[in-house]
Amino acid sequence: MANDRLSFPSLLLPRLAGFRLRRGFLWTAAGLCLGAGAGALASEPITLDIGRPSAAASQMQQQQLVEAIGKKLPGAAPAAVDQAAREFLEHLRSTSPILAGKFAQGAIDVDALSSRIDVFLSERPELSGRPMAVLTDPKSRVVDLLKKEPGIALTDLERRALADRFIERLGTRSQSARDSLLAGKMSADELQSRVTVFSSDLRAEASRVAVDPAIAAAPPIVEAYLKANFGSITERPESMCYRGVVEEGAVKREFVIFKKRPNKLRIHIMKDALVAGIIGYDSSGAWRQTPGKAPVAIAGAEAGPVAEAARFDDPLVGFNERGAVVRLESKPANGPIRLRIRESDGSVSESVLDPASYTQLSLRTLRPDGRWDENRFRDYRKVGSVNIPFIVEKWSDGVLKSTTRIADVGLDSGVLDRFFERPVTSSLDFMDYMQALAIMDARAKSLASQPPASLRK
Amino acid sequence: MNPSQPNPTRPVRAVPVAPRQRWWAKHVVDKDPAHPRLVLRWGRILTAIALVGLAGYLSLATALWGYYSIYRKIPGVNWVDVAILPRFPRVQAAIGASYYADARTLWDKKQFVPAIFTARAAVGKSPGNLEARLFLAGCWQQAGRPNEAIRTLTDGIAFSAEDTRLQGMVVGLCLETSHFKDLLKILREDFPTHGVHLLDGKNRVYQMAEVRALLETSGAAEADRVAASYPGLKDAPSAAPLFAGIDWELGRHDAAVARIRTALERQPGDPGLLDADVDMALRAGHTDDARAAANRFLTAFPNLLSAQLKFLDAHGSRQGADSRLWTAECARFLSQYRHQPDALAQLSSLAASQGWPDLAFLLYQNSLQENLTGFPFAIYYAGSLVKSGKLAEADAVWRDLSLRNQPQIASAAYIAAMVDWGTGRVSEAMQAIDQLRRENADDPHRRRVIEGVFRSFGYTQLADQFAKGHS
Repeated sequence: MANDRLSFPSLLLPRLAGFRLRRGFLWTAAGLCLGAGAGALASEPITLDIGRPSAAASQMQQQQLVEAIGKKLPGAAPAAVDQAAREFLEHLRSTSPILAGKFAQGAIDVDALSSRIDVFLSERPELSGRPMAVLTDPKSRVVDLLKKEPGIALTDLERRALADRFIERLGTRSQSARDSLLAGKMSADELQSRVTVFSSDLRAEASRVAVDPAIAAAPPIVEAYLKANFGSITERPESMCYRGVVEEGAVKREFVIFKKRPNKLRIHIMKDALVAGIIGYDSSGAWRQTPGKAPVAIAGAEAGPVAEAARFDDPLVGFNERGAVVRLESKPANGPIRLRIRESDGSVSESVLDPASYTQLSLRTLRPDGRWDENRFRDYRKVGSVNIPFIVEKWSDGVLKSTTRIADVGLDSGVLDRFFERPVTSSLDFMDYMQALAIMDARAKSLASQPPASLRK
Repeated sequence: MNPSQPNPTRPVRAVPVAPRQRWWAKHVVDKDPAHPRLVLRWGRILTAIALVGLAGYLSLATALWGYYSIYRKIPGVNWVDVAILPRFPRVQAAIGASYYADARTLWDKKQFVPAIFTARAAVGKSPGNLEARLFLAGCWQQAGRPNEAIRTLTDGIAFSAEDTRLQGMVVGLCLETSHFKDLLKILREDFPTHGVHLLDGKNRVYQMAEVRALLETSGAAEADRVAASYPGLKDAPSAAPLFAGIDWELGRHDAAVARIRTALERQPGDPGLLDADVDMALRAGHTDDARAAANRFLTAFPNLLSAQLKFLDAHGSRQGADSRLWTAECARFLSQYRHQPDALAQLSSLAASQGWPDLAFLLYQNSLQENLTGFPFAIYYAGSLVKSGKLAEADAVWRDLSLRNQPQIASAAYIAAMVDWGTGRVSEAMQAIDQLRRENADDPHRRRVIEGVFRSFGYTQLADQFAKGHS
């Protein structure tokens, strides 16, 4: 018994880990609570000051308590039983001071004590001596329970995301329940019950989505569109480059664009058959460079459109994985198919497909100001496995803004990741080379325009 | 009773009927015993058959003539050539000539595949049509199929062995595409079989070709031995670069340098000798001599690709005085050959072998910009990174290329071996070496090239491992 008593403080300490270094303070506080009489018990740190019991009675009750808990926890280590007894007494004092007083006086009914021990242990399964690591992490407990719920999530990653959602929802409904869970005090039964309800809600939510005919009708159409225009997943290119001309009114501008999965972009803006400017995006940041000058980063609002343009895939490719929702807006008997894509960030676009060929006729994007930008696609040609529109018209508010004509396309032609990175200072920089070519061209032109030496004389 | 009806009880009297005469047979009656029989008129039958056959043949010939002349509109097909069998090769020749003309038209219209098929048909119809054969070989060569080109030309030896154009083209093509074993067979067997002994004449070009082929396939000693059998060959200035190479291989370095110098004294303006002069000086490590020789070469031929490349090679330290000269000439080169991928590829190859990743990457970017393809410049860029010791970057580039461009990088598996070796993936490197050994088991020239690449890039252990498999 002496050994058991001596073990109490060491079992208690983990619960008071924050005060471990202030053991003196702990005992000072205990001494203040216990009063002067408790000072004699300083060497026996059992906080049995509840109701000022007689020492013999409390010792007997203590023995009964340990014995009763030992019976409830067959096979548990003596230390675990002592810990459970200690916890139970604390619990009793916090939840029912009267009963705690009775217990201290040795006046508690044995059956009442037994039933209360049952309830207590059912709420604190960790006291049974099972490993604590998993159980003390509330998210892991939720994840473990979600594993038993069929059709909720496929991977642990998804389950952990759902566990976060569960805890968040628990907090909005019952802060105390959330605190109890986070403190590791929520009983297994209660948690199981709450997770079951949560899972049912999730299933109901999923079934609501599934029965929405507009959403349910979209995936087969998207699949047909992808098959018709991009081939199988293994055939789809990793990189693409194309050359063309943008016509904006009377102004024509040549360009060469290089793109690579997932979102790398480099645009060469041409002038007089030389590169007059580069805009690049390497998945992490945008940059630009002009001939003879060092590259500079593009930041702020200017970087947004570059990053947006860098997305390699069509909005309908992998929409599900992206968390976007696609709805079938309309599918008339002979007219085009309209699909509305709502991205997870709330942005909306609308794709119009040809019902016969499943090529994309147009893609409208809703701007923040509520207006629509529209790209209309024509002159589709098959390049490799990809169906590419060689003419793209950009419309805004019903007005044709520009027409892009693609002249040449190359797929998977050895475009390296480094090509998209912002160039580091080099003695042979590409834009320095372009500037040198421009100077040489200008010099050649000026020499050609000068009259021959014989005439000058 | 009706008298007109026969009376069944009364017997009918038999009336003798003369047998019906036919043009192909007659009835004769033997006298004793009297017995009629049918006798065929064989003369008439055979004559009729012959007439019908002749008419049919002529009809078919006419139909065939009509088919060729009217339906297919093939010029030069005469009825008599179709009708008279011995003259039918003239029809084939006319068809072949027509196909050849069509093939040229298609090629001019840049319809390359139909052009090659039509040219093949032309050669098939008229194997003796040398023009069509040379054209087809040229098409194959331009299409990057040298094996087909050489086969087309060697097939023509049976028909046109005496023709100097065929001789020159097949030997030149074999040299250009490093088909040295084929070249030896052509020179020593194929032409002599048809009575043409190219090596016996006074034409040094074929003898030099044979020696070069021997150098690449059997080694310098064998080449030197065979060269000795051609009196005066070693003294020809045009042969000096070849024999300087043999001297070098045999360890006679000073003799190699001296041979070039002597030849240059005799023919100071020969671009091949000037090129070899720079090359020998670089090999010997005489950097200043190399620079001086490169300057002479470039001064003499400022717009010759090999002169420009040798200049950049000789000034390749890119330090001190070399830096300015190198940069100026490099800029001139880039400007001059900006739209010529073949020339830029040679510069990129030089950049890889010298370890100039900045230039290799610039050329790679230029290729993407101009031609929408990074090949072969991406491979040269990876090579330049290996040479300059930037193995982590080379590894990243190679992995990047491996993703979707396996066919393109398969030709440069030795770079993968060096990257693996350099990054500590020895097992993978040895696997690549094994693969290279198997692939090049029958190609000693390519084996020499690969081994040379390993050594020049500083991977002597890999070179030894590679060579060990063939020793």
